[in-house]
Amino acid sequence: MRLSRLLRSTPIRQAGLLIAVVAVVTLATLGGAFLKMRSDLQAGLRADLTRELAGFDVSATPGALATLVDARARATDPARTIFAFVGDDGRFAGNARVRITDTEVTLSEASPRQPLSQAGYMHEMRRLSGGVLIVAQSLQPVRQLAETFLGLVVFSLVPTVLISLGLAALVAGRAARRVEALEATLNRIAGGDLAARVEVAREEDDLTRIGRGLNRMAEKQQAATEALRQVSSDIAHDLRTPLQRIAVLLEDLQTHLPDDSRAAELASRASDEAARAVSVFRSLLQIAQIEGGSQAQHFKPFDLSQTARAIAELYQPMAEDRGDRFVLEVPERPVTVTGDANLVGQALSNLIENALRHAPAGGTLTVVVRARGAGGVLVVSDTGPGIPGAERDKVLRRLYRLEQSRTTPGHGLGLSLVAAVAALHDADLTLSDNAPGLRVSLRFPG
Amino acid sequence: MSLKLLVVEDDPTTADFITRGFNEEGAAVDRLDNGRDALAQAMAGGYDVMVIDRMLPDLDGLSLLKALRAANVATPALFLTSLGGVEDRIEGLRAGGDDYLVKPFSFGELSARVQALGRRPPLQQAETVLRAGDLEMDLLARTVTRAGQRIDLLPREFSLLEHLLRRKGRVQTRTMLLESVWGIHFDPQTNVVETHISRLRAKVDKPFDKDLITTVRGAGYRIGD
Repeated sequence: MRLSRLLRSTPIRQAGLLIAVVAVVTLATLGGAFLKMRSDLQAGLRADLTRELAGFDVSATPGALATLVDARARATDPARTIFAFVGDDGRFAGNARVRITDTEVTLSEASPRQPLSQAGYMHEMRRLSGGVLIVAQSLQPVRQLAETFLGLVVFSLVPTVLISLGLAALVAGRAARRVEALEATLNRIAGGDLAARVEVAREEDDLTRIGRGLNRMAEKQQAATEALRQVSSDIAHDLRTPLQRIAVLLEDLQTHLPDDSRAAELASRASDEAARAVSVFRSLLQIAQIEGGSQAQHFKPFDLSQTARAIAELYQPMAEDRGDRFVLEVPERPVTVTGDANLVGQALSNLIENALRHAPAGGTLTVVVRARGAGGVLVVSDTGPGIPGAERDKVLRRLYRLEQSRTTPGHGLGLSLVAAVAALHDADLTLSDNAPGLRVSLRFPG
Repeated sequence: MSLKLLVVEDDPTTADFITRGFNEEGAAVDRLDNGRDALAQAMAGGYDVMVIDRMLPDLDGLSLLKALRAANVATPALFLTSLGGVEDRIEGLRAGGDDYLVKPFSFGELSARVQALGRRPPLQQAETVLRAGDLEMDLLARTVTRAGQRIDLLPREFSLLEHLLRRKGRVQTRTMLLESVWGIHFDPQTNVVETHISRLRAKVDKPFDKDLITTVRGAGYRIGD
């Protein structure tokens, strides 16, 4: 895990690329030099062979040639140069055995005291009077050249690569730790801990600058959130007190009016409107609070099935009284997710209330909980009019209502709260077509 | 009603309303508008319940209650607040508050909650049979009979009825029922409790002459003899 992260880090990737370029260039240079020198060497060997053969050309008879070859062969180490003469009459002279077939010439040692070169030979063959003369040069110099170049590669390139890789790993490790610190801080901020800061390194480089930038951003966000909290609690206080007074005065007024009078009815309607204002106001405040994210600090594992059962049980009689079929599909085993059970319960309750409000009576309302990987899915579906595809994103906005549902009760904040709860829990919220009806699913991570 | 209450609220309209409401119910109310006076007054003791606004001049509600609890004043306290967040609620309960009511509230809700705090039944021996009129609930056998007739209840109907019977004669608001019977701490937009109560009524009251469960307008429900 750590290693694969390290391998994917930018410094290691860049170091790897540089090393690869250096390696290719070095190999190409050395390889080119090697090929040139080898071909020069081979040309030299070939010239030597031609010269040697020319020296024997003067001998006229096979006997003389054999004697000459024998003399040269005795004075020469077959590991370097082989001289051999095979007479047509079966006469043989030389410091190595030679077998000639139509296609090739095979050399083997004449005696164990005179081993041949392991590097192979380059030979020249010439038909002279009464036999075949063979001169072969060992390819040992070529092999030595190759070994020298290999040595060069090993002793120059390998340490370079190893040292560069080591340094890159060291630098990458350090950078990775710093990037990890940045990531961890970002995650903490995203998780609602706005006081999280990066420890800024002494040296001035790009990561330090990013760290400072991150800290500045976090400070601003913290200040903004604090200001928002302050403003909303001020608004809450300044608005709630008059709302409280209105509620009090209306309640008071009602006791002074004769029951069943027109005035009492108006006072009662005013009371209901005040209550509605309070309800919208409370919901807006609550959504703002959830979106603030600080509640994530109180997250605990809870059983999604149990929450669904409790909320479904609360609404089942209401749905049945409407003539709806209420279906609850919840597994026996607990489906554990991490979060705030109360908020998830409220989100579910909003979804059920939405279905009861917008779907005509006599349909089917289904609540499903399923384990999904380490997490769980909560699905609420109805058989009502549904929400047209283009409108599905909009209904998650605050106070947005479909044209057709303007006349139904509710304040258009139910789904916004569901969306806020989903975001707080890192859960995927999907609205889809239940054909017919609306299907809302909340997928909680494990 | 002979409760003695201390109301600490700086908004005169709200304080008037609360005081008048409780007076009409027959409770004695001492009314103060700041935390410092309230501290001295509450230390003198003798109150059944304190109703404290969280935002007060001089000494805020939280600090007031913390100081009182530190001085071993155990009088049940209900916070009135204009802050409605979960964290504010937890903070209030942690400071020693026994209940919490977010503004704006109806007097019915406040009264029901104050009654619940003021008349917390003393730790009684475990009752096994609860009664209201000719209705009997056997807690061991988990059976309910009325006028000798057996009534079959679903588990949740049973616990709803049990909750009302244990608080016989006292109003239980919808939110109080949601909190205690269902363990739900939010306000549903629809009146779900109403549906459960009417189902319970259909079994407990409808087949009989006299209604035991009554609706208290603007407040909640109550069971009586």
